[in-house]
Amino acid sequence: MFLYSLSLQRATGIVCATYGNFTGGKAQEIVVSRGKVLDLLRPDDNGKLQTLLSVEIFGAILSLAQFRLTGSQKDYIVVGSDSGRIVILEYNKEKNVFEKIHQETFGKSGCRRIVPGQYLAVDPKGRAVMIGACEKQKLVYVLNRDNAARLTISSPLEAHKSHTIVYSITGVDCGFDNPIFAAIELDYAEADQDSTGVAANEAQKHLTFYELDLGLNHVVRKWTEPIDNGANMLVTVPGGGDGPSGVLVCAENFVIYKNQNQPDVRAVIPRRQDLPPDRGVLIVSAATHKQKSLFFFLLQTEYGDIFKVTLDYDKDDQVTELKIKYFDTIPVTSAMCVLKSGFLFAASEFGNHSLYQFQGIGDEPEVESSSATLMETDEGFQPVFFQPRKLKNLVQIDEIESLMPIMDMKVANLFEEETPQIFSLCGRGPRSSLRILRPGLAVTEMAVTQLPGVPSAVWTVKKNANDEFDAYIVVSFVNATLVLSIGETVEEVSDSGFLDTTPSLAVSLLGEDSLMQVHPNGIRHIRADGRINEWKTPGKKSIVKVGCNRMQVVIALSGGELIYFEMDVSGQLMEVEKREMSGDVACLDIAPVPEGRQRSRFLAVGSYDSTIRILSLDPDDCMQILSVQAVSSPPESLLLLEVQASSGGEDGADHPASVFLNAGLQNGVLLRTEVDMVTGQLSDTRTRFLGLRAPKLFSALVRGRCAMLCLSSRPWLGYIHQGHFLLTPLSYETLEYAASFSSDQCAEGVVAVAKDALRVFTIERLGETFNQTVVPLRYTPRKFILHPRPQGHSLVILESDQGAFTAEERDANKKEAVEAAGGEENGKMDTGDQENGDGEENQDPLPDEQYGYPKANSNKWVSCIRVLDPKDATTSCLLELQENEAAFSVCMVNFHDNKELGTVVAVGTAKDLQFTPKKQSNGGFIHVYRFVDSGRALELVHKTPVDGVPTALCQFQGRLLVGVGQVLRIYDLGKRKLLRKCENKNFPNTIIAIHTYGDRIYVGDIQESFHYVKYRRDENQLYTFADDSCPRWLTASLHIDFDTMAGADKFGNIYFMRLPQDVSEEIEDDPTGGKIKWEQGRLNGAPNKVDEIIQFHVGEVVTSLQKASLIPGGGESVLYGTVMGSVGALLPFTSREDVDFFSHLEMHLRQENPPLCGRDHMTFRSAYFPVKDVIDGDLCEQYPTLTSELQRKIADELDRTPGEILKKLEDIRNRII
Amino acid sequence: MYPDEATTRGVASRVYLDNVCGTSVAASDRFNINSQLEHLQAKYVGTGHADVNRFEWAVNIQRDSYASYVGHYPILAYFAIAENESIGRERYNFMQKMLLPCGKPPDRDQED
Repeated sequence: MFLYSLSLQRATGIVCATYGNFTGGKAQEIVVSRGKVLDLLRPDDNGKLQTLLSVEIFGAILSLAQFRLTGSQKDYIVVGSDSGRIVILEYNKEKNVFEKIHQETFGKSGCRRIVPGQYLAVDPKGRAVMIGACEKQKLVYVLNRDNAARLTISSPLEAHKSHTIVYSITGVDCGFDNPIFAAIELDYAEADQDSTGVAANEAQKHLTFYELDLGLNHVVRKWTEPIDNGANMLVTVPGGGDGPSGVLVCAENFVIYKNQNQPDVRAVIPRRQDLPPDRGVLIVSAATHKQKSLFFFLLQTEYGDIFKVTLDYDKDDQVTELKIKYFDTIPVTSAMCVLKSGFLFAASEFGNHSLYQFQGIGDEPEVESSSATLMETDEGFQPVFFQPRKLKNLVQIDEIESLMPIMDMKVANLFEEETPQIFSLCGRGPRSSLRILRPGLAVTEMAVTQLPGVPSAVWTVKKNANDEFDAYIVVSFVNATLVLSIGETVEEVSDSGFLDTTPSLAVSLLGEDSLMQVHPNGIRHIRADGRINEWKTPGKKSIVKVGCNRMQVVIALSGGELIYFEMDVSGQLMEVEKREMSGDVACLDIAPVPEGRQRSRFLAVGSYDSTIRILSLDPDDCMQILSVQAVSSPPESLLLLEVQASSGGEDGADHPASVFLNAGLQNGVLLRTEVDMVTGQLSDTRTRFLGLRAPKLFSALVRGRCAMLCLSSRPWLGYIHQGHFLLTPLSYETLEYAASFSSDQCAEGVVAVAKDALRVFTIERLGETFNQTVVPLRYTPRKFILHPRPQGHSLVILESDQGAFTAEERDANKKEAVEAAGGEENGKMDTGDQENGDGEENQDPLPDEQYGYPKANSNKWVSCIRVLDPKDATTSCLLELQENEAAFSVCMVNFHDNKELGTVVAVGTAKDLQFTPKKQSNGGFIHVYRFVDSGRALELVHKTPVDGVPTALCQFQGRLLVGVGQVLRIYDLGKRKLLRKCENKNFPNTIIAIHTYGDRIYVGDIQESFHYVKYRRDENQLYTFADDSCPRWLTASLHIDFDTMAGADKFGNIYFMRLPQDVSEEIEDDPTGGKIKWEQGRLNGAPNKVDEIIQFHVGEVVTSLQKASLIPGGGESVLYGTVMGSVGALLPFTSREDVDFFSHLEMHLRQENPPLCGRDHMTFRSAYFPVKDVIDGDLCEQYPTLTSELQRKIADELDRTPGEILKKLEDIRNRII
Repeated sequence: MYPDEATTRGVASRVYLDNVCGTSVAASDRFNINSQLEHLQAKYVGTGHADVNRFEWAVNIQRDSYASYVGHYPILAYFAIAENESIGRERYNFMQKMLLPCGKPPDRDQED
């Protein structure tokens, strides 16, 4: 078996971010790392974050930094990754790519202890960069420029110190003096030797300054001083005239200002009132805002509170006071960026990311905490408390959806739509959600208007070619035409000159400023000055089809006669040529007039005899047939579309555009054929089944480029995104006819008719594979199952959180806190600040989604079982577990011996579970629930105590299989509790997954991969007969077939394993059972071993595996969801030729297109185990982004044309989604 | 997900079967492997030697593991979900644990 691996949704979580001017203009851009993807984001004029570029780098990005050479206008990006190399990138605006400027190798690849990459620090003046590891190694590279003003990089200078753990490094701003880097270091040499433990207790963190002597070209340890032992992060303080220089040391509970020759200035980080006293407050992310006259820092704690830190300093740059002021609370971030344009980009560590706009900068004088009011007592420093409040300084203006983390995922077609939906449990704590993903683009509906009849067609038309917006919407009915004018409002008009007593066939702008209406009996040409020219059809013939652009019109009369008109110099529409076709014309189209030309050269005509012809419109060979294509079914609609199918330039400007003939056939297939620009020959046809109705094709504008709308049983959009032509369904209802729409309120919209309504909508979030419907949940979701009801389905979802209070406790606490704070605030309100007026009082003042749940002791659990109807997103039943129980496993069982109970739900819970200092629990329970209220609610039948935590449940032959720690047990239903029937205690660690098939049981162990178990009914015994030879830390598992299992491990690998055929047969035909019973394995293992047949490193922890087909009638693939919020698919190849082709393509791409950040592709995919029989589609899909020479070179080696390769790539993607 | 999957922390250093770039052993150097070993021991923390004891070995493995957790963000996130802490806190905790990952070292005199 060979698999094709393809990411459907790239990782949505963010690891780190940096911002600067990477395009070189005024615009501020953000570069974010999503683990193995590097993205460039930019907030547009409307404050929406747009992704300019997204590159898969086949490695792990650990750190990002940005620097600018003095006097330069443009920032460079430095990337610290697991490649053992430092990489400097520059964004090329013209080609829309990241260009690798420098790549310097310094160590082994992989995330290692002493190989730099974890930390990056740049000199604020852009003269040097330091790259550091967790331990020992730090390298400094000097950056400069050569005579041609190109960036140069020196050989590395070492700043190593053995036996030293590094917590953070940063560049110190010291103007144009020698660059200095600061590091938090901890020396463990003595602690490792001292058996009394005294040295370990006395181990002291130090702040060390490393100076790079630019003259001598070496690095010296300049200054080192002990600092608070809770120190974890450094923040640069502006210097060199802008501020006092030095660093802020963020430590647990404190922020300390430190600099050479200055005393420490320390302030306490304020604590939330409800925080348990034994918990510290740690700063997890920081952002600096600097402008000419002021600077401040925003530091976010691990609870989400942002504090604004300001420094007071005197003329000699001596810092006199450090002030900490509560700023606002937003969900905990992994990175924050303050943009110069007044935005705060907050990359959430879990859940959606946000862009905030500053409403204020919190410059009121009163502060929560200051170095001046620091109180030291015998027990240490006096804590300072504060109460979180509503957002005051920030207002959210955009949100980027993030699935991180996907906890569980299932694919099913619960809504009976054309394609199945992906149900995924995402998020953590109060920001948990169930997200329903549908392949396709999200649509924002702007307006829906009922029309007096059922319209058949709609057009939009401008009054003048230079107008920005459309002037009229023209709607055609069976016997009438309705004209609506677009202005402040959309209303019917009668002075437009259009004939309204007849249906219309086409409406368009002709020439500069005249309008044309084609109706069955003629062509009405409306000049700008109101003159109307009418052309009548000869005899009794009527017009059936029309094709037109701004200069040319072709009509088809009934009977198959084509008449070609052209606009002459005086603006008159003149008949040029006629041609008799063999039969009725099914459809026709003319391409838009190319810029700088008089006319378009090609006319496409589709006939009912299932052929499509290309006719010339050149004066020399007018209406001559240039080429013919036979198709599988009569064409319904044609569209000639200019596509720049390859990237380079901002979306492909470098490559010559090619014209594609798109044809929607009556059997629902869309054909895309390339048209030779010179000869009109057709070549390279791509087909795709779109839906049950014949696709109607319309041109539209997407981001100023030509795009195509295809209306089949659902609407599709064909457009170019980052160099790829994408054909994506829209999540919208079936439409009849559509036209692009542009007005004041909506620059790029679509107007469409469906049934008796006129709909205006826009398409957002281009480039996304899925659109989401979000249903909020209460706690971190763990697992869920689907329960089929008589009408529809229910989801049974388990949610549990550690260290949180129950809902009642939270409500009580909150009420108390708000009352306390409210009292104070009311007092304050009289003095000013009136805006927190009455209207908002009814809302929840501190929503948990924003502020997080208050922390409880870590041995406290809250958990609930939820029954949810996905259709209307309502919870029909929610059971909160009592007495510190937490639910972890769930399954549905039909007990064989108790039929009247029907289907019951078994839930495994742990009681008083704790992990530290030692993992332990007071046992657990298996709850058995039955469905009541026709499957909408659960009712407890009974609860069975067990001696451990039941971490896996599965139905097995009308009984219940339970994994409790090392024990696999079969239970049957009793009156008061479950009854033990059989057990096997010999599993290595903890059973976390059970699958069954026939009498075979597949048991997944937390550390030791799968065990194949056979149940012998006659003996009532469970035998392990095969296991894996590799210990694998299983995180997800999937049953593939009788002998095959798929699993994923904690280190980000996916693997398939299969029991050898002969062993499988032997086990199945063992009549006496003696062999199984007496056979012994070696070294405590099972007697047989399974073979690994598939091996692939994803690079992210995979949390769920599913087998599903996302397209109607498509083959099944294995889908996976990861902690980083990405969704991928593994598609089995069906032919050997495809395997050969793609493995060769992959091989060439590995050679010609090495990954951007320096990690070798093959070693990345083989990071833990050598990759086996999986072809990396993400690498193959980088083919279109190569230069055209390189594309041709690879294509030549494969004996194909680049077009064929692109087609292959498109085809295989279309087989998955 | 059952959180124990994440909190049971395994030995991650055995996963370093990975590529060795920069220090590939050329055929001609194979004969002076001893001198190479000494060089490696000086250059790379944790390169073993004949007299390495159980404690040193374990400490080394643990530090490698913690460094690996800190470096692999998805694993860090996985732990953070299991322990219901922020990712920043998890990273800090792992870095702190690198000081004394296996408790106090054994008394040298007793061991002999």
